[in-house]
Amino acid sequence: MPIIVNLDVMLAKRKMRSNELAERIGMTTANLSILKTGKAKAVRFSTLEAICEILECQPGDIMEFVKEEI
Amino acid sequence: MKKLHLLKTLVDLFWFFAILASLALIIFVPLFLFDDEIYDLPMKINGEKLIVMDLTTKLILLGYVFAYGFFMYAIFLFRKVLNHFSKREIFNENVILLFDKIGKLLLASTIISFVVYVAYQNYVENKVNFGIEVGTDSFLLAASLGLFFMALSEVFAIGKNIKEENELTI
Repeated sequence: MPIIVNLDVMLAKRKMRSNELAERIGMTTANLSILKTGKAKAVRFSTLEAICEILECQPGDIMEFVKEEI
Repeated sequence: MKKLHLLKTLVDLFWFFAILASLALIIFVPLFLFDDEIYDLPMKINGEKLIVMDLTTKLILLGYVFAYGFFMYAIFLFRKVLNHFSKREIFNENVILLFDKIGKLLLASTIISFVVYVAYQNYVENKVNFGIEVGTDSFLLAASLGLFFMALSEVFAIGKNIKEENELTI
């Protein structure tokens, strides 16, 4: 998929662990792992809002569009 | 899920009696196929008693046996689908494949039955009849049922995709 999730980078910048983020958003670590590995097919605005609020960042800091090479 | 249990019971009952009929077929059909003598057995094709037992009649009989075999296999697979449903495995790859297989088997069984029916009419009654029957026993309805199962398989494949997308929405 051409949408790349950079949640790992943002977590490293904020020196926060995945478990802590998952706990603060109220999400399971399994679901957060699906999001981090790029396996997710869709993200709810409410989830995005919660992540951005906790990590103090913009949606664009977490995700980026990379054109697929054919 | 009460209706599912009722359906499962009815199909199991049908399966039990169909197995008994199959046992009779396994015993008597080879007798008819490999012996030219007509015994005093009430052997009927399309409601008419068999009087001549030659190669054509044997082929017609064999055609009916194949059609019956396909139908029985479809019922066997349908029981498997019902078992999946009772385990709450609904939008499953197996169920999709089974529905598709059931549809193909029912269609094959109907086509074979129709060809054999026309051949029998042509051979015994010397007439070719291409009428369209409208009833619970018509070829048209049976073929539609086969296609319905194949369409159901496609619908379930779409359902499975939607379910996966829903599960992967974070």
